[in-house]
Amino acid sequence: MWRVRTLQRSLDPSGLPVAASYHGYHIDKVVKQPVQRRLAAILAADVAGYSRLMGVDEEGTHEHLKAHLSQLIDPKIREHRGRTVKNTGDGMLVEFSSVIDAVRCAAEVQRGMADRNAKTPEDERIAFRIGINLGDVIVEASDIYGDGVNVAARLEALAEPGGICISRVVRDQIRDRLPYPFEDKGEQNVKNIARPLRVYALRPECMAELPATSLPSPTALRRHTALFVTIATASAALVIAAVTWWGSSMRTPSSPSPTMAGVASENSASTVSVSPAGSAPHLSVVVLPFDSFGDRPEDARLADSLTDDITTRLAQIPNAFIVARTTAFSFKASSLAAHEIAAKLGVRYVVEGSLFRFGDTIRINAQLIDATGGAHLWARRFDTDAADDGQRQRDLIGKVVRSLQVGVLDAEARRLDHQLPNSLTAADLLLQVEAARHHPHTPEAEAVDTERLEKALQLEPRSVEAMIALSHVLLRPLLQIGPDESAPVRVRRAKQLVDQARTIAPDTRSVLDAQAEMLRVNGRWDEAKSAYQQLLNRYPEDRHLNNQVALCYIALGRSEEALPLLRKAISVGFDDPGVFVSEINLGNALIRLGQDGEAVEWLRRGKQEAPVVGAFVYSLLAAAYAHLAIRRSSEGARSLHSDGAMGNPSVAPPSAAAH
Amino acid sequence: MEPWVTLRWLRHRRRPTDAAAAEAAREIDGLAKAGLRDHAEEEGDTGVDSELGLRPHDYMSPTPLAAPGVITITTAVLSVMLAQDSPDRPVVLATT
Repeated sequence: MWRVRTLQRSLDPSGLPVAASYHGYHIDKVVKQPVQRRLAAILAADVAGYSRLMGVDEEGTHEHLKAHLSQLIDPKIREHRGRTVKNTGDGMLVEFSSVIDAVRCAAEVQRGMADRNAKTPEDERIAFRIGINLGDVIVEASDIYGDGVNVAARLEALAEPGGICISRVVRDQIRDRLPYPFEDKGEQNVKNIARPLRVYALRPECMAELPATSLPSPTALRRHTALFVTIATASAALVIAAVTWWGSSMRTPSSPSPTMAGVASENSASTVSVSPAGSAPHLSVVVLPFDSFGDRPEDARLADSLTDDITTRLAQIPNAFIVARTTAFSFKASSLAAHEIAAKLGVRYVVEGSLFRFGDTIRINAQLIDATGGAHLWARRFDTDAADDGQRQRDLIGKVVRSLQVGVLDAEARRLDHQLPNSLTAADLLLQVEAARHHPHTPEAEAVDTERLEKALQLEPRSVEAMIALSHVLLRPLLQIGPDESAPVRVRRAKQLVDQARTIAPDTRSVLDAQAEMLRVNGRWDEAKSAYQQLLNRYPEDRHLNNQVALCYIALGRSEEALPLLRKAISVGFDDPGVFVSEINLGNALIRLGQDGEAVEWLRRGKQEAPVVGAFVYSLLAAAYAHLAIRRSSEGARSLHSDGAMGNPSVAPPSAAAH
Repeated sequence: MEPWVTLRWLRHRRRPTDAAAAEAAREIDGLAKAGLRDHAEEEGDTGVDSELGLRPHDYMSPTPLAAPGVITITTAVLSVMLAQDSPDRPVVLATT
């Protein structure tokens, strides 16, 4: 039984805690059994065209499906330590002890189905679609719930009949441990999932090249097992694979799969697994609920909102594993130390902090801890006026979240810097490049980025991510500073990369974005605007895309049309470390339209946030001050001639910036 | 700021549209009021390698201070030479 803080809105009808409602006061009585959560690898499968098959031959299809389940699928699930959780009309849920087992089971099932279907007329074949994801799930007696399950189901829907789709986090865990040639299908939009999913697919054609399955022949099995097949199992498949996935990422292929305590025992009171933080996956973070001192409910709400926003933002880092907020909030009343919570969750990094007010100031302290060694990697203090001003608080949250995202990336990049170069994976190298993106773009940094991305492509020649990232690194100086002698070589290589990426993952966001960038670098602004606009229509809340369309408008002399886009970019990207680019571009557009006073405000704001302030910003400020024709114009002029501008090798001429 | 960033350089940059040039002009006007130099220092070293040969594109880019096999002169010297009434008076070819 569990003693908990009372829930401000109590419990919802399903008995689950209401989100963001744990602040309040203590009560000293037992309220309810805790919701059991665990991190699980989730595999979803169903029969493609099941209704059509049933319509053609109901009894025959039913019998065939029962046979497949009893003779191939159920034995394979058992062989790989799986457990069927639930059967539905044309789907089912099963669980495994490791993600490696889950993927291997799925591949062997599909391989076996290919054999079994070989002599069956095509229109009578039963083919499964399978999707696998890893995520946090809520466990009940005969079912599981949660975003992780939904994503697995969406992945399954994207799979071809006879094929398998996995999420990026699954791909990162199996890496080269399994010999399956998953293709990067890029980011895909799916129903009811806010963010695009990065999808990797194993096509049906690849199944034939996999080793044959070791099951007995269908005829031999039929004699022994047909009687034990139930109608329930005949209804297709959703499979749940519960696993300590971070553990699997660290172990060698020959070592045994670690098992989550919470998975091993359904009746266990533990809501999370126990895993030493030392074996945590690379970039794994739990954001503990920020403490709020005092009894003001609005401060508690602000602290919870801050925790939510940090969690959401960190979850957008590629290849990162961030503990779900609901799991993190279950530790809100815990007396465990940060490193103990990290050990329970098996994560490497812990974000924690506090909020309190003194006088007219709200202060937020935030810190990042390496749970494996207890070191404080990053700590900052943020103050704001305590006036009841939603915008001020939003700005404050934005600052904290932006800083933490860069801090987490830097911490992981520094850790990777100390690894043996040959031990780094393509994902590691991409993360290092991502971390560097938030720092000054010097020629030396570009050379390092290029080397890392070329290495990533050697390791994973079909990595769309690496192709697009390298294309961007190559084009970046041309976009920010302008063409030089290296331009033809850079553009040619970038075009090769983008074309190659397009053949692998056409119509995906990152590829379309890179294509638009190619148009931009070639000065084809009108076409670039159309290309970015099409993407923006798909992702209207995206800061980068709003910024890029606006940039095209500025370049085309239509700055008036850029203003609403840039204001939206700044609004939706308040927690995006790249938001300063939109702020500077807004300043630029305003100067061109004669609105110098507001331009100065945005430029100063962007200047504060930028990792390095180039002459571009100083020159814009100088122009705005001069136009204002106030005494401070001399300050602008001084800015123009300041050492910071004169001596900066990475300065950009007054052209629109991009990020 | 790089030595080639001058008012002249900015004003002669290609813009995709006339409207873009008009909008940029306001920004450049502000820079002029703020004191941005009109033209580059003649002997300022832009760091351009003189061994690269003819530039196939981007003709408004910075130029080197010297080139192999040629003698470079300053504008002041050229002015004096042009003022001379001599058969050796140089011929100036203007492209703009």
